[in-house]
Amino acid sequence: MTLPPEGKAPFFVYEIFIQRDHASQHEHVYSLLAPDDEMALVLARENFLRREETCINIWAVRRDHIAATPYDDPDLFARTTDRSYRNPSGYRQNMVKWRKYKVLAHGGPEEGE
Amino acid sequence: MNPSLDERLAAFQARIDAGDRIEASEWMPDDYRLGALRLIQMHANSEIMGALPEREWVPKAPTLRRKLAILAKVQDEMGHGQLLFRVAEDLGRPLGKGRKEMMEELLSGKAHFHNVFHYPVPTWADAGVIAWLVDGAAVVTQGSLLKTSYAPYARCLERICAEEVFHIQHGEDICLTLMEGTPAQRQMLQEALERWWQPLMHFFGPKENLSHHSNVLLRYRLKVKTNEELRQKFLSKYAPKIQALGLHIPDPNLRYDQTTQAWEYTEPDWDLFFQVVKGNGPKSAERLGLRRMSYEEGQWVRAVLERPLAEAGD
Repeated sequence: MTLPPEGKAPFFVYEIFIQRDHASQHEHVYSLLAPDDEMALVLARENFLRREETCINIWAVRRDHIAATPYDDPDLFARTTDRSYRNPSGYRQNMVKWRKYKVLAHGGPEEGE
Repeated sequence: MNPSLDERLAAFQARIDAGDRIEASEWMPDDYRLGALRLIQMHANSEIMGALPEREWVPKAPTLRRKLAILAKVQDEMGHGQLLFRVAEDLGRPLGKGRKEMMEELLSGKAHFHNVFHYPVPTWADAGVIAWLVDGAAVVTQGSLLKTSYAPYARCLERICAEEVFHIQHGEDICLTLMEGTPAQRQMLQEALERWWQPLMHFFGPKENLSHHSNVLLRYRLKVKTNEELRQKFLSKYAPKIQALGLHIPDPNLRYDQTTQAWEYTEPDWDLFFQVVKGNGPKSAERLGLRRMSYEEGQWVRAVLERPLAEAGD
């Protein structure tokens, strides 16, 4: 269920995303009202970057251009089968087995990278 | 199969009781929406009105560094107002209420802002007390609101609380510097504390009626601590520090009772509190007048930015 349309409003709601550095993804940091893309980017800098935070890039996206899943559909993210084979936590038995060989398991806490 | 309203209300209350959180686009009961909107709107009003008392000291700050710091604090408050009005607008959309309507409510006196911002700031020591203790009180409240059930407000508060940290340190710095100064400076700070003590005790609001149904904000976990719990927390945090500096708190009955594990204090004048919040404080009319003038004089900027209605929002 998305928000009702804004109808004929003079401003759009823009969602703002900020990229801090090249190691980081763009991060959602709230929304603002703006009449167009250019003003959205200018206002994003004024509203969200008052501090000496590093920032190398800003995205502004109109909220009505974003497709989203509803919150009230419990089946959408439901999982009915065991998927422990996808996670390291599904392989804890390796640690026990390796002890027989007096060697540490891969990815264990004692193994430095 | 459509659930009845009663079923939806019961399911919603069950989610709240389980500690679940609500997003802007979800169904919510009317009283939840109105309760959350009123709370957030008052907070937004308080940020933009709270900027005005301190703004008075920007041209009069004693050093350039203090001027820059107080200017930055004022900018932060306006920025927080922007974030909060955005959150409030998303809640108010189904009610046809945007920031224009909210500004009109503020200027007409229909919507309120915190008592502390209706008072004058006669000396630099008052500016220090505001930044240290009024912001300190606000952080006690806001820190507890981080657990609010309305998720967009909680996320917004994370940022606001992080930004408020320097405000309190700036206030502490002013007060510490005055206490380490001349006898006249120490006296100025003592007198400022005496002016602000009752407004600070008022800030958290009167002890509430805690019966389950009458208190919408607590029932829906929009607030998670009562007014009295917050006031007690403020006293525990700040009374010892104030006294450690050598300042005298102007309440002869203020003491911590080890048996009840609570602070005792002279009950503040609640009639005065309600008068002030309704807009009859010493500076209420003047500051609302300034806010109105600023809003009207800024109309041409909004007009230049606004798109013609036919183009926008389709």
